[in-house]
Amino acid sequence: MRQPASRDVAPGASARPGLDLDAEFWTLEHRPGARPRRLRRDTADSFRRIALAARGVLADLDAGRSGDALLDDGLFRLSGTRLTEIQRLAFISDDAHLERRLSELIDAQDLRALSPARDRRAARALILHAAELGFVPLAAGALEAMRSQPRSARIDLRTVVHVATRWALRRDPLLGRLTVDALTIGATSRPWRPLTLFFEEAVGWHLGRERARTESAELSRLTIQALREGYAVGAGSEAVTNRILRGAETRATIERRVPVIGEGHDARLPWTKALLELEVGSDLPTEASLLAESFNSPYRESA
Amino acid sequence: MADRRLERLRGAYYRAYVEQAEGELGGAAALLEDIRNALAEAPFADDVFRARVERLYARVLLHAGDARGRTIALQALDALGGMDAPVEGDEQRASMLSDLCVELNAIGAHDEAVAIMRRTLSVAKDMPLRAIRLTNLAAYLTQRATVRRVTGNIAEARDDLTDALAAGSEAISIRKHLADAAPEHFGLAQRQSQTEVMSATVELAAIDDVDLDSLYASARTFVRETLDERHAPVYDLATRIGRLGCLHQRRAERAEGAMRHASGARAIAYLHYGWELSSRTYVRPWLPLELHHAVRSSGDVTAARRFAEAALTRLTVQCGAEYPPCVRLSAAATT
Repeated sequence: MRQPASRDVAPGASARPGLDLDAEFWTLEHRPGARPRRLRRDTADSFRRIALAARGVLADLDAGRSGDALLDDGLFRLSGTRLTEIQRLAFISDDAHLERRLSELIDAQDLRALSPARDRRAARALILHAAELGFVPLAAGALEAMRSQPRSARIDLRTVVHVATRWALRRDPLLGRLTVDALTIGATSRPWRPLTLFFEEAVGWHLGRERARTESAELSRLTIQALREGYAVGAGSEAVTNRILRGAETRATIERRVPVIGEGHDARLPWTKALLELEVGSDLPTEASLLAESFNSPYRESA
Repeated sequence: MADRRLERLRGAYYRAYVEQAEGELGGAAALLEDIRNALAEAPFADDVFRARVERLYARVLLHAGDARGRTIALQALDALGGMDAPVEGDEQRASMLSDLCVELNAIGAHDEAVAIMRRTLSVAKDMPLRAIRLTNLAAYLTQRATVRRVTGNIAEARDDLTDALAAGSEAISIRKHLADAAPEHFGLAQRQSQTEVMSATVELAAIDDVDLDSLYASARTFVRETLDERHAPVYDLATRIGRLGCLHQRRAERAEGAMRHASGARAIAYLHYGWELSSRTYVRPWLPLELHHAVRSSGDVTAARRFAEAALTRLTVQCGAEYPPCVRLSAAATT
């Protein structure tokens, strides 16, 4: 990839250290309320093995199952005595070691506030951890390209949304749906930490740091909610993306898109729009057709 | 788990996709060239992802006015196994082939686009996916019908339009059902299907005697209902408004005196509007042909010739000089 180019950033925009493109788990390096840290290699290896083990245990679930059945099955496979399978596949020697790792994942995924038993938060953390292993490389590839080519807030934000929806709906639909369901408690969607961090860096180039932090959490939550609604009705990535972008426009994170009609370099187009509105809005008065004559032929020499 | 390096490239590809969608063609092309170079040294990459990159690169080149995009799109089809590439039991490949049909259709390979879309349609399991493919099939059949009409093959053009209307109507039916339950997610999609049915119906009016007043009334209502959609794809808007212009041209051809003049003027205005709106999307062959015809019918021969020259330049990049609508425009530009 090309070398990073300098960005025109908004005053007070993000100057914090960026996400590590080579890291496998952004959440473990950027825990809520803690200073960013790099994982030791053996620690990263251990977490990777856990993620791969969880993916293996979940792999044969049917992503097409309706309602809460999929999540229930997923949580069941990652709870109680079934955790011995994770321990075996991840080459973890003792129960206490696994407990420590699970506790770290609960913090990293910001699930500490959930109930250990009722919400099965450790199993949820494992699902999110398994999903992050697939999501972060995609996000890192997009982020590398974003760093090298400065673009508008809309393009940068849309890139994050595009990566999230493609990952969840096409690239990894089983983990995508499990993630979205695992982040939904009752009827409330929660933000997903790696997605929040991805949003934070992308919008951080355009908004002040504090605003980027608040916006990114809300955009992340909005994305999870839109994906959940999309899964429920079988909507495609385009429809889900539009919903999220509309939400971002409503929040004024990005500017509201100007209607396409009326754009163009040809000075006659606004007149055509006016004529069109007149025509489809009511019966066109005979006099109005004279208007059409004013641009009868845009290809005349004098045009 | 897929290779991490490959997933990084896929993430960069997603960025390139957004850049092209937002009109940043230079940036998208540069990024895709980086990705292609990386893939050239990545034997582990799967051929479906390679084809995705090639397809997007072809699109970016064509939108930037670079005719190499045509060759690249055809090479992508070959790399996937050509016309007989398997689609059963391989959803990723079927999805890729279905997406590639957009480019095949755009470069004038309508037979390939129609045949492949029909095959991928046969393996579309869920209803939303089936509706997407039916809608696209209707669009490709309609454009092939234009080409067949231009070459004098009216009977086959009519067959294509009959099939297009059937496909589009089924798509509308599916999407109406979906939109009733989730209008926020399927409202736009339903109107996309309606746009293709409108387009096929208006194309049919170019070869058959139809009730123009009734067709015009329904087209006008549809344009009114969708005129201010902020998130509608621009090619849908261009199609709706351009097709309304076609109907004005048909009405002008049947009218006399002032009414003929007024309808002809509106035909030019709306078709020109559609032409300008689609300046950053693929050209549909009926649009420049109809606009040239409308300007020529107004009696302004010089203006018609000038438009034919401009349209020919653009359509030749997209479809090649041998494409029948290009041959027609070429003749119009020199006579």
